[in-house]
Amino acid sequence: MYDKPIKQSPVVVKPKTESLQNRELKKSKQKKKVKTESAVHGDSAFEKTLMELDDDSIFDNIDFPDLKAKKDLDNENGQDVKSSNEKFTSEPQQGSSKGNSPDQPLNKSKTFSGSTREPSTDKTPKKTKTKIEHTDSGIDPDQEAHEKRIYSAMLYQKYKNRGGPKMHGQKQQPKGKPDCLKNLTFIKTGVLESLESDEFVNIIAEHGGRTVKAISKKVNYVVVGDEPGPAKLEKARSFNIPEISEDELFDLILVKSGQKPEYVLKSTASVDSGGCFEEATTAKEVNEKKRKISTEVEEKKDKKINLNKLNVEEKITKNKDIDNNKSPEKSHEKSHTTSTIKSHKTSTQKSPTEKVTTQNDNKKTESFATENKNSVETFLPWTEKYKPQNVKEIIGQQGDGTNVAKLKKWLLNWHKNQIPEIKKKIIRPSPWAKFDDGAYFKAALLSGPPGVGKTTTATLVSKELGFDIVDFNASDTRSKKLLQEEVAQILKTTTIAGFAAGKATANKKRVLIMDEVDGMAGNEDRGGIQELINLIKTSNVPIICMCNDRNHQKMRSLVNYCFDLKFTPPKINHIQGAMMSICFKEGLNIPLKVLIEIIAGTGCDIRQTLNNLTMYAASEENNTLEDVQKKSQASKKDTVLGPWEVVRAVFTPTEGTPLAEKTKLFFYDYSLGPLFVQENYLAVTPNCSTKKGMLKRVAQAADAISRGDLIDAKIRSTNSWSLLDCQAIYSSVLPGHYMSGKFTNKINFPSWLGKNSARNKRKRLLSELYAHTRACTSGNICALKLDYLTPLRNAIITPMIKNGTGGVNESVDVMQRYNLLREDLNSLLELCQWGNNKNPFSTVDAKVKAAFTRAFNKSNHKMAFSAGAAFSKKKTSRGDEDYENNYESETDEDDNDDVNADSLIKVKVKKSAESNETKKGSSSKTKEASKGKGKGKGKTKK
Amino acid sequence: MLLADKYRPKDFANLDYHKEQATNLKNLTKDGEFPHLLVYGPLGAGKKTRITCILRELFGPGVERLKMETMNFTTPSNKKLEIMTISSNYHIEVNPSDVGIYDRVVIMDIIKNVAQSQQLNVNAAREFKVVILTDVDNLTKDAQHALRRTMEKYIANCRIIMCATSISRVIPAISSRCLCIRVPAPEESVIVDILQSTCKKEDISLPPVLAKRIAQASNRNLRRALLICETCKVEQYPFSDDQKIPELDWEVFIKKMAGKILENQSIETLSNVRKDLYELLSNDIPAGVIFETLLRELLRKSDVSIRETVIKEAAEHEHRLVQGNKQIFHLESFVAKFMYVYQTFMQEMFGDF
Repeated sequence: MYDKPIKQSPVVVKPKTESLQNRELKKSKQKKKVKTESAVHGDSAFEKTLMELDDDSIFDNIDFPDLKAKKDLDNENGQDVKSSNEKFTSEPQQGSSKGNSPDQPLNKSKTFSGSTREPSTDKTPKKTKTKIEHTDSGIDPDQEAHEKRIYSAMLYQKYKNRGGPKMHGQKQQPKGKPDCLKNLTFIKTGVLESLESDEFVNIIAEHGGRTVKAISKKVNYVVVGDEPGPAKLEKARSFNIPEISEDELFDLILVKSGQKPEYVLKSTASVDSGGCFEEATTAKEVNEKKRKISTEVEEKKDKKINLNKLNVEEKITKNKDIDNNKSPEKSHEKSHTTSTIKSHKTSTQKSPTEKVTTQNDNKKTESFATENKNSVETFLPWTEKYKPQNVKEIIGQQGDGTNVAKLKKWLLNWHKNQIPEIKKKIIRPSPWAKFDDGAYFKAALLSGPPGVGKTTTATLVSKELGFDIVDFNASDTRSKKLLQEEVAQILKTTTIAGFAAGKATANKKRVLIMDEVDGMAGNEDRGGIQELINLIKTSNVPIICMCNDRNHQKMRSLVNYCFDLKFTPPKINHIQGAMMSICFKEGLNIPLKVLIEIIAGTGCDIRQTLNNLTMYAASEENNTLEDVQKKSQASKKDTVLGPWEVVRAVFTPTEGTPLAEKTKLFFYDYSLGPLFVQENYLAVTPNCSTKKGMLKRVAQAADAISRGDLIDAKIRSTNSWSLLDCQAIYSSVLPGHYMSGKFTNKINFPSWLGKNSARNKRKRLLSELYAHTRACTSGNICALKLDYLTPLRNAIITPMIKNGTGGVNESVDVMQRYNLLREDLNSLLELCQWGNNKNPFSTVDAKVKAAFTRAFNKSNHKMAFSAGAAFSKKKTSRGDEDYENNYESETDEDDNDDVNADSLIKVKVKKSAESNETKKGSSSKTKEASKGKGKGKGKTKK
Repeated sequence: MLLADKYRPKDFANLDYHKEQATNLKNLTKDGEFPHLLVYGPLGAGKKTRITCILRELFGPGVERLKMETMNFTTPSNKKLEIMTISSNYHIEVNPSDVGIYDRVVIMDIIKNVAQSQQLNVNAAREFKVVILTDVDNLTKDAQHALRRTMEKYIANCRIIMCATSISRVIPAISSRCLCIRVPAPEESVIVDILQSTCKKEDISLPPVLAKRIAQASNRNLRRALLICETCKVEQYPFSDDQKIPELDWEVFIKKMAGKILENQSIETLSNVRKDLYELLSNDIPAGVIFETLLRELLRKSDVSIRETVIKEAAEHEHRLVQGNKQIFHLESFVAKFMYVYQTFMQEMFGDF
């Protein structure tokens, strides 16, 4: 592709030369000529320039070479060199004036591809060049005219060099009424801030205005951009036409259509963002300079090539490098030069073009890169842009007692604390210790709501103390396996990040940051928490974990291994200060009240506040306090209340709170909420004068709760969840209404849950007993409970109480007749237990009990239920592990007169024979065992 | 063995009361066309005893060879459950309400299977088997509906004998398919006679006065009467006329609770009563029984003018209790309501204090 331009150029040049010669002849009738000329080019921008330059009527007399000669270095070479020089400088500009504005990253690649093609596609520069050649030969007698020509040539040069709109596409175009610019005529001069010329025409046309290209008295406004045409301006001034900027134009549109102007204000705000454009232009200038230098080198090279002295050439390259004085470019140029030299060997003709083109490209890339970087910075969201850069900037974390200070201290002392001698001395602090420095723990757990700066704190503190950070967050898989393999490996090896940065030694201090540990769930991260705990136990680097809710079920086990740092949202006034400064930096004018409202609306979430501020800055209307209040109300974070807070809120007197609000309380937890209400409504003293009225309210509340339960039953039995609203009224709102007042007792956890499970347990025991006795009793389970149990128990125990060992056989007989197992006796005893009454069986002597157990086991059980054993075993599967304990405990039955003696279940004859031998040794062990049995069934504790 | 079980009659000839009904039942079994039965009556009236008699009359003494089996089944939600059955070669006894809300599955799976299979024993006296369902009044509506069709379809293979305390909770569709037999509680005098005859068999001398008192305390529940008698014997023997008749624990407890309610009506009392109610419920005393006993106690002390309101409220809350999930809510609500009514009445009577 590099061949193309070279081959084409001679072909193209010829006809152009002719046309230009023609033009020269007809120079007295310029205007029309020029227009045809421009038609040939098809470039409206060029056409305009022609018009501008036309005013001075020196268009044809441009003396380019002279200008060049003055501007550039001394140039004694032939015109062909100049021409090539000219050509290459002009190419990129042409590209940019075509609309490929350099500050648009998107267009970047286009420009690149375009620039390589340009020699073939773009005729303008070549034409100019050839024209120059010819005009150059013409005589210039008038010095003044000559100077003028130089001036206009400079202008033209400038015109060609000028870029596209700086903020193309960045400004929102105003939407005014379609006819707001009616009867107004506009003219544009220079490059506008964000509009291309065709866009400019469009926007005026959209609003009913008219655009013209030549200035006249009819024009109402001159829209002035960067590098305006001086002729146009002068004319405009002579006609007294007001000059406006692009922003003023936009505001004009807004004002004419009855809206508030806002562009002018904003543009002053974005001053700092404009700074980068200056840089861009300077970058461009630098770029240009370099290009010139390179072409110069080229020329020299060309000479040398003719001489075919390669080594000399290299020297010159070096010279040039020194001229350049820019080390990074050095290598670039060098390599290019050498490559060019090589190519020179083969084809001397092609190389200059080729080389310069590539070089230009490279330069361009660089300048684009810098521009690109700048523009990315401007587009950063505020949350990133104003992220704290050091520990001191973290909002609400200044001072000694704060989490930042604690974490810092902990991290600083971590390695010291891990030294075995020191570690031994540190004892585990009590969970309520206030001024613990966490020395005991190998990991820290930062917990708190989102947007209070947990991650920021962790990273900044680690950075400040010079730790290398290994970060895992919810986007990484953190399963058991991965943690085992990868993380453990990472923690064992040493980082070489230091080498890359040029430091001599590797940084040995590292910290593992596990972000969002509460997100470790699901199949992906199975076993992750457990593995993390193992990791903490064995780790030789500090670990910082972060989560939102440290009370979450999943976090329970982790919390025990971590130095607990709870982050609370900072105070409004803390955030407010920081936000004010950011608003100032962004040029956002925001009333203090509005700001506070926004902060409060987010629940002191800094990140959310910043996001909302961005929104505020971007939107047009919500400038009034009311609007903001409304919005912040809507965007208010849903803070989840625990059941305790809910029940407190339910009974707090609220005048004028909407029903929906009260109903909402119920929906925080609609299964637990009603239980809490029921448990605690009696703990409230309602605002009520008389005792009688109070009781009435209690009765009403109780009635509502009872109705609520009916609805609950309906909901759950028929899955009619749509009734929840209705239940909310009965189970939460109405009791809250009747009983609104002060809590005089503490709020309790619903006892219903515990009582219900106790009940279920007894029910199970009873049904087991019922199943066993069923064959020989009449009556249903209810009759068994109400009437049978006590007499049955008495029938079994009384003989033993009265006759001691002599009554054992009688008792065993009753047991057998009723098909009772030994463990059923325990159930029976437990079921008969009432309140704090004494268990009559406990008065029985331990020896008698043991004798009874032995006798019972000796006797043959002719159970009516063949599957009985399996049945009862299944039923008692929960007590399976107890069996073992029981085997042990029965051995010391003889000398242990503990009440637990009745836990001799399933004693085998063999076992009891052994008991005499082992009893002394095992007695202490048994005590432990019987203590540890927990609430396995078949035991009576009293 | 306890007296109540030891001397339970095993055939119609030995029944002590409702003799006329016994003859009718006996005649019924002679016929080939033995219908479905629904036996109902209060606790301790002798329903089960009569059912055993019927079985024996139908199949002979082979019925008394019982075996207990657990049957496994899976609910549609894949929950594995098991239920205890008592069976002989001729009959099977199940209490579907043992598995709570899954009783419908029991009816659909187990009962239907039993009903579908024919009597295989060639020597059997009858061509049908008998399925005994106890506590039919505790069946859910779904289960009862599931039973309807089974009862009709497999009548050739099986007869169903149902046992219930009250038929108010049995859907009409079921009761209309059955011959309903009401077994009323025995008269006090009958109980006294039985107590004395039983004691004679055991060689215990029971003074008539004590027997009467026991009969009164038993609330016409024969089983309870016999059990009380036995407990009395444990407490003190030989009997004396004015010996203390032991009360049941839960009854004493409820009475105490009623005393608290009547003594002082306030939020604190209600909190205490709640604790007591929880104690009762967690001891698995049926809420209905608690309600009944409590109401009885409360009514005893309350004036005629408020009785109507109290009973009305009790009925309302008892109904809710059956419909709802959490019994304590309704019991407590009733107590609160009673407190309010009672306090209002007292203030009207004696002025503000």
